[in-house]
Amino acid sequence: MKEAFKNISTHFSLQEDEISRYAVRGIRPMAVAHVENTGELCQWLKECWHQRAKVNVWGAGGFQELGGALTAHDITVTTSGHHKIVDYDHDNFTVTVKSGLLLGELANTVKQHNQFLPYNPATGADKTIGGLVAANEYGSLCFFFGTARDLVLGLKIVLADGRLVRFGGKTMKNVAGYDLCKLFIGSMGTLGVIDEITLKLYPLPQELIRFEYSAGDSDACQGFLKKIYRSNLPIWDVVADSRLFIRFTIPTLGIAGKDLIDKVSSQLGETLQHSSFSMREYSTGCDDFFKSNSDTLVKWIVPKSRVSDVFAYLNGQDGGMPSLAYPGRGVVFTRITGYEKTEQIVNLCKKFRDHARKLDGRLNVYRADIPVVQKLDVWDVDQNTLYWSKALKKEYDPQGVFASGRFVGGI
Amino acid sequence: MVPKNLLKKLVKICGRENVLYSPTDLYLYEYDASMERGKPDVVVFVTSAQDIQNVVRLAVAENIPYTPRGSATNLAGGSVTPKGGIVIETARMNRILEIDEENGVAVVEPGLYNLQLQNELASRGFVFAPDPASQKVSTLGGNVGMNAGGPHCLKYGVTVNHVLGLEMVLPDGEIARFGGYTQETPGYDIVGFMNGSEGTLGIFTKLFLKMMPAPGGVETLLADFDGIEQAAGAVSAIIAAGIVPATLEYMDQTCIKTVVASLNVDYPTSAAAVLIIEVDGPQWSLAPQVTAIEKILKKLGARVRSARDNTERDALWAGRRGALGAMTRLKPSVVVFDGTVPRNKLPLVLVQIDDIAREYGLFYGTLLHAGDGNIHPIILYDERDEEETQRVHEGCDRIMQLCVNEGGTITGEHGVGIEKIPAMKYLFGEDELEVMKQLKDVFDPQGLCNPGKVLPA
Repeated sequence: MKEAFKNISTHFSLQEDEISRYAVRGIRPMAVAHVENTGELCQWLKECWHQRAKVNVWGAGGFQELGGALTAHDITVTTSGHHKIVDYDHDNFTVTVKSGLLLGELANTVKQHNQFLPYNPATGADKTIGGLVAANEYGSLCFFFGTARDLVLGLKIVLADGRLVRFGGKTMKNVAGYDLCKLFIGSMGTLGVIDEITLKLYPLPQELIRFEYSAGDSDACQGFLKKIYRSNLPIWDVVADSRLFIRFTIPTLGIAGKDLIDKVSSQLGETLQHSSFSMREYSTGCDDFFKSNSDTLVKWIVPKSRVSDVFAYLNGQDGGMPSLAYPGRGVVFTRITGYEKTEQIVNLCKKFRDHARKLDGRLNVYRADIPVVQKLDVWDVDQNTLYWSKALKKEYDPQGVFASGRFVGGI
Repeated sequence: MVPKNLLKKLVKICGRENVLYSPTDLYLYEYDASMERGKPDVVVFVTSAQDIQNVVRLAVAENIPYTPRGSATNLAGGSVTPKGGIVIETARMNRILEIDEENGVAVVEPGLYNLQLQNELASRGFVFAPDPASQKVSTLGGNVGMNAGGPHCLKYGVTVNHVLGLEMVLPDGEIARFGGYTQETPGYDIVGFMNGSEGTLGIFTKLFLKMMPAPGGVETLLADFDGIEQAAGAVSAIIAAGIVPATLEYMDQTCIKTVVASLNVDYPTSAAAVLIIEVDGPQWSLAPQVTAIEKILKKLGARVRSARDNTERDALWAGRRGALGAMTRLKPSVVVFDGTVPRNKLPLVLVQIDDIAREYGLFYGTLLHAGDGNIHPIILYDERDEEETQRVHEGCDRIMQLCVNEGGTITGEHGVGIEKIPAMKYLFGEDELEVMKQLKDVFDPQGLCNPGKVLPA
């Protein structure tokens, strides 16, 4: 097997120190291949298919510990060298990039043309776009712009057997055939490797205003969120945290800042703290919350009217639990702090999951140490989705080329 | 001809009054809004998920094809039955089951008309963003099945962006729900690819749809141009200026003259093309956008007027919404083409479409969801004239190739159905079609669910 792989590319390493860098939770590949173009990527997959080797795909490495425990694999294929901007059609507001491009690099490129990609997963700037899309990561801008499924216009995918296929394109609308982009977005590299992505861009606004509101209790928190949801304000992002602090951002749309502030305060019936900044300075301030790798991080997915119920529940826990929400999406991330023992963390996750279900929601373990992951199904998936997800996996990766264990049902 | 024992079973499931099989009845179900024809063997009206489940189980046991049907406004043959079999008509499953204002979710049955939901939501201060031109009569099940678009999709996205969950009867006869009241579900995005699957992977029984707050204020502008290239160019210019209007609709002179004659609307008949541009949002946010748009339009030589009130606004939209109907009065048969190109290619493509139309002797007018680059040349002809019909087919094929060559696609919102299957090869190679076929095989290994659609045999 090693000999066959050596013939494919010079960017192939069997060195111990290199291999160690690509270990995931202690699972080390046999070799590492660094691809720099589509041809190499296809060739690697084709060879792995023939050799019945198992592949783990690695972008910037940011999501390797997401989900369940990765099983043993033979080759890690890295895509960070596969990072060209293939087509930047600024007149059409689309950009096509190879999957290894870092989100931050793309953001900087399009900014020069007064455009932006409204896609801001926390700590996403140093992640590859392929990895972000495969993991279906998103940030606070999902409130107005949606997630990857709403921004991706087209994908090129390398299938398990090395064939390259293309779905979607660069038009805003496209219903030619099944929308297989949706299948591959968020599939965590279990069905194919994302080779190329075409994304929808937006005009960069001149100025934004961020508003802040501090709620006295969870009822006030939900009451204010409800006003936001019911308002017709052009709100781009909303972030809330377990201190019941809510912040949201609105582009000025050519209106004088003071007038906008008055209008928003009057429409929401509150006097709000506010600050102005340009899109070039835009940041949601969520990165710090996600940066710490030491805590177990869980993700509540609830109907959006139940977000403050999650906060109320968490604030009633011993010592509280720092949490951050994208409330319009009904998603709350909670850092489990103050617990050391695996058993305690597992039991707490189970307790949270029970409560999430009482709120008509679900709870996934977003990030945890391996002992926790081994004792708990990190995905809270419904039976129908699980059944059909397994059927799809069997169809598209019958040989199990893509390393398993991380996605729902151990896929 | 349906075997008697099958009819008996269908009557038992759906009730005698809900099973149609006379030649006259079946004749009425052999068409949709496209040129395609295909007579079913029997039509059943279902009123519940259990009815659909029982009919599908029966069809599978008897190895008979079945096809879901709503209002059959499909423009690509998606609702007709080229292989016969059972038509499962969902029009009577038309209830609004729940309006959950707290979570912004409407739960409806698939046979509900889009506009019925819009009207209910409007009374509560909400909207469902997808607004296909057929919204008065097209069902929401059909809208989801086709991933329908509409004028407001420019700002708010297409149907798939507004569907949170689906309950459906799958070809294995089970009732399954995917998604629902939450905005995401762990696992593959089954809701995502079921949108636009054209009723070939199962039959929807319940839809969980995203409601948005009504925009509050709206300003509507009509801009008329002396040249189609300037009008098409204005589309990109507006968006490049940082403005994303709610709608950006284009109509050429043939359409303008026809709607003026038919609907008595006040459009300038001397214009080469008009754009209907709408901005929405809180009332106070509109004026700066309107001023900026007017400046761009005037710079490009357009004459601009704005609707002074709702009556004028409705009148401007009456022309646009009634354009297809007005055009169809001119000749007995119509093809509504549905290519999409990158927005900045519109000026070039419109000129080339005109060249192709001249070459093939086609009589046509063009509507565009211009902001999305979605082109709807409406080609009028007489299908009794075989030679003319052949020219229409060939001309459409050329236009589809043109769209693909310019980085676009063969269908932006009407779907592939039967009509565009031959053109799938312009976009997809064998491998891509094989991957799509695999999806079909996972859910419908017997190939009985709306067969003969989307993919080449």
